[in-house]
Amino acid sequence: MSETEPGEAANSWTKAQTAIIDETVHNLRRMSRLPLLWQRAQRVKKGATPSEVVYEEDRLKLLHYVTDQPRKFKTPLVFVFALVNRPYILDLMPGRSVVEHFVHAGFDTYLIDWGVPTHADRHLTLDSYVNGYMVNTMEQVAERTGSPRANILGYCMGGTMSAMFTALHPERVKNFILMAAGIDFATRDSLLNVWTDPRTFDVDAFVDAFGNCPAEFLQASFLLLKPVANFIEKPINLIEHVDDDEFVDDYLTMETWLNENIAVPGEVYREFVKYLYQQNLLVKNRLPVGRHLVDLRRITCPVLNLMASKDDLVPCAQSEPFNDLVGSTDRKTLKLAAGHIGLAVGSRAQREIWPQACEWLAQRSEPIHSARRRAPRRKKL
Amino acid sequence: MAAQAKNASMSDQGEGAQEATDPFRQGAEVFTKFWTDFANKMAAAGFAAAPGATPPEATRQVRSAILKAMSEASDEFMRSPQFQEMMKQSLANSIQFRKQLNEWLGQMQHEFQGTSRQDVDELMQVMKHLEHRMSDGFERLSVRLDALEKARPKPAPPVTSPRKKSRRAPARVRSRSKP
Repeated sequence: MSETEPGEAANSWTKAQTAIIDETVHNLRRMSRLPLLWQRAQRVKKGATPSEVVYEEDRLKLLHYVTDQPRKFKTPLVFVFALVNRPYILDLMPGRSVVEHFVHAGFDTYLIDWGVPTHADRHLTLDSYVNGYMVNTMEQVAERTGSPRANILGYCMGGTMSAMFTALHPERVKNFILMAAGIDFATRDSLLNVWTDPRTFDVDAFVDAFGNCPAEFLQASFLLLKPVANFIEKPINLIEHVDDDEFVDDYLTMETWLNENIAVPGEVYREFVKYLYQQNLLVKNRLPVGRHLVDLRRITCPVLNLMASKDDLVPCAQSEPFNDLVGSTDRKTLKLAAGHIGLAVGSRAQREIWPQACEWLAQRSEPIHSARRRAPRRKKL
Repeated sequence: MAAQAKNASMSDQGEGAQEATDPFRQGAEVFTKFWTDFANKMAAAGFAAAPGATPPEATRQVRSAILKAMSEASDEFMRSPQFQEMMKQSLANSIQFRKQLNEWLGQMQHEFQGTSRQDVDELMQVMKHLEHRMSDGFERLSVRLDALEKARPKPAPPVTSPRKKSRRAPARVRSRSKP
């Protein structure tokens, strides 16, 4: 026994020394790649699926995704994104695109790009967006496709706004997919809910002084939600994987999007914080949008609620109650162990959630072929 | 003796109450608690490496545990009333600064007979108000028209009604352009 102990010790010492040398060499190799990061960051592509602008109003652009694939469903699908970031996260890159899934499944797919607001837009309210821009966009889509109703997929703040739209204009929505969207703001799971407490945050004074909610303010708030992960873990992770081209490309694309925050029109921000975060009026069916109150019970179309269980921005407790608040009987919830962004671009989401969501929507959408087949039968009768 | 004891307990209570309401002491206590908890978590994390791990691997494991402890501590801290108070003060200061800046810039513009942002905002407010009044008016008119439509006696069906109906029906359908 006394003979083996020194041997084992020497062996483990050698192993440790080898590991240290390997790690040092590896680190030197990684460091040598760091100067190339800047070049790679310049080459980041935004958006994977080809699209064309089919409608414009003020700063809003309606994108239509162009594809060679045949359209399989009559009802179009419209993506509604939040006002706080650019919408290309839904079509980030090939293989990590929510849009791609639906386009390949045969849906005629559109996306609302709200554009970047300027100071002139500070007076725009939720009414301007929900009863103005969204109504006009849906009319445009209806005119283009010949389908009076559309499927809607709303993500994050866009999901909340889509819920308002669906409740106010139920005749325009065939199926509704809610994706990581806040509905019940009573929870204190997210730090945003804690910070927007009326005793802490005077939203009126803030909007009166700043006009639009500055992008930098939003960015700082989002980064502070997970300071250790954002300021320490993330850079370390990048350095450790800097020699992995795929990882670097993903990282840079993601960071480009994350750092592209945009200002939120002042009045919308005021209404969103005051009526939702502070007074939680949506679940009480007392949220005023223009001259109307949003009553979620008016939503009777099929509803699919997608949630991310590790979401620090919109925790599940915020979107889970939605299915019980609507008047629909066809309701489904899908939950994934991912973060807020991971639900859209994560590899697990691509494998598990989006094929299911496409299937769910396909089952509830009218195929183009069946409509053509039915016609001759009617003639015979 | 009893009176003395009562006085003593009252003075203790008084001191205790004073301690409890002293914001400096409260802040210091929270700060101390935060760092004590944090140090404890960090110390616990220091022993988290698996025994057979190589030094780089052990470093990674310890680092991961330390970062997790830091993350938990920071989350706890950012939920504390003290952090919220700090945030409130900081926001109030930046709002005050922004207001003063707006006023100063506005005055500068006015001195040079220019148009300030406040002027444009006020103009926008007036336009918004006008828009609201007009849309309110239209809505009222629409309601009255609906009421009149309902109140109007239904005309007797004309003889050639089927033809007329069939002619009118397509006109109501919206023209649709091909996608």
